[in-house]
Amino acid sequence: MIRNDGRRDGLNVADELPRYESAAASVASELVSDVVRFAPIVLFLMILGVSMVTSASSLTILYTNDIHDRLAPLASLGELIEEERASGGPVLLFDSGDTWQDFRVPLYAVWGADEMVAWMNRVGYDAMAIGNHELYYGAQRLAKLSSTTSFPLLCANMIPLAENPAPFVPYTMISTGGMRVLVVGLITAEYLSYPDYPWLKYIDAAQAIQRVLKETEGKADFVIVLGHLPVAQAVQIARVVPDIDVFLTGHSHEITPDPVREGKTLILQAGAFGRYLGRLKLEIDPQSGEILSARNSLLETKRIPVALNRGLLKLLTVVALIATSLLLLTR
Amino acid sequence: MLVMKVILISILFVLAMSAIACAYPHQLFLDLPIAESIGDRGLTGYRLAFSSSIGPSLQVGRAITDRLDLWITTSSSDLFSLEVRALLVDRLGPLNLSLDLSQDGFTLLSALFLGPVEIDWGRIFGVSGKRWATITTSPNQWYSFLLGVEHETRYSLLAALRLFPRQGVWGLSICYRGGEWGASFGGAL
Repeated sequence: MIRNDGRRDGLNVADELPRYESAAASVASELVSDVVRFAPIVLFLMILGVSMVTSASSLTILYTNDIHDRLAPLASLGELIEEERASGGPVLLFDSGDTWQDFRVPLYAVWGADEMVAWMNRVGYDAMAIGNHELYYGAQRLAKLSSTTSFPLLCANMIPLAENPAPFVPYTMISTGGMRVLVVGLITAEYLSYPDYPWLKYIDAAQAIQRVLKETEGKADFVIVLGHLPVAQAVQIARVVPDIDVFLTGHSHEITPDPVREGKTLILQAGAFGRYLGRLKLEIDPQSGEILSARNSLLETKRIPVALNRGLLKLLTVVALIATSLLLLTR
Repeated sequence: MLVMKVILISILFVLAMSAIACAYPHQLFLDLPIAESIGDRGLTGYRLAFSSSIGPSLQVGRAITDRLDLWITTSSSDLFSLEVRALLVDRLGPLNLSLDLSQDGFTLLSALFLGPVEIDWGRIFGVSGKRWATITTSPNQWYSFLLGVEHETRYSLLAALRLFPRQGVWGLSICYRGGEWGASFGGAL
């Protein structure tokens, strides 16, 4: 016990002071020497720690939708895609459907699908959602087209019954920039050619995504939906399924210069007919998969006329066959 | 008559139970074929129908290849008839063309597939010389409507509602044809 006068019971503190001072000085000197010795390591660990907390993964998502067989902008789209890839960093390229057909324009009702598929293979699409116009080819032609693609065709809300093989899969998993990205496809219920696919069961889109998310639980860091459906419907789905990070839409030919936000979900669409290439630049927290920053741009394309010879020949053949059969019907 | 009804209902039950999820879009009217094939080789299409003028009828078709079908029809008015259907043009853009050969002559059939809308027309070159055109629309996976017109000696109206209660496993139709009602049931095995 130390008393107020500086004396300890049975001990003279004043006598001991010089010894304590010398010991304290020695400890201090050792401490300084240790700090100096370990400073670089401590500094390195501190920098590493800080960088681990603040560093973000960059991801660029390029997207198209509703090209509807328009071949004129493809060269320009291809150049823009190449430029983005050349600028470094992970880049994903997606399409949200209605890309291989347009029966409202006779030429594109009969021609262009093979050319579109070849171009998409060449520029390296990562996945594509099936649109209602792709289904208009009928099951056999669609199966043939899908067998020639080097990327998966996605649709989670049309489920094949029994043993009938579908020309698409519900989702795909892509590893990029150290992240596992789940990509799910959806299709609208509007204008589907149901009688052509009696073996496909259409289910609710939100229910379909929930089913996929349950199946892939814990396997993905980031969720992208390629939905061939309007922005408004995507907003409703994102309300029900809040785990979607990016929702690329189609069908309604809308333009979203800035992403529409619903909860954490960014909803986008790039017009139609290949007029724009959508580019979404993201900074993502690799630990949580949270989007730290998002920058969207719509890059305008140029139209370069392409030779239509084979297309015109095919159109003439179809028109001649229809005219002949109508003539036989009426005469 | 009761025995006939029991037999028909039994056949219908067996067909419905053993149908696979691939309802052949069966033709609604016995003598108005459509420009579509049953599908993959080995599939069997069937159609059971009843109308007040023809009575009960049963059609069974077999896909020899994915573009060639063989059809056998039996009804109270015609005990046995054989038909070969060849799909000449398969989805050239939206167009199908097919040719039916039977003992009554040949039939040229066309179909245009425009998404949820399908336009069919055909003509029999032979004994009857019948011609017809129909338009079918399918708002969803549960039902479709058909409206059309046929001409042999006079024009008459065609209308039908087709239901798919089991998502494409089989289809059930109620048909109207020139003042006469009928029903049919069909699918693929």
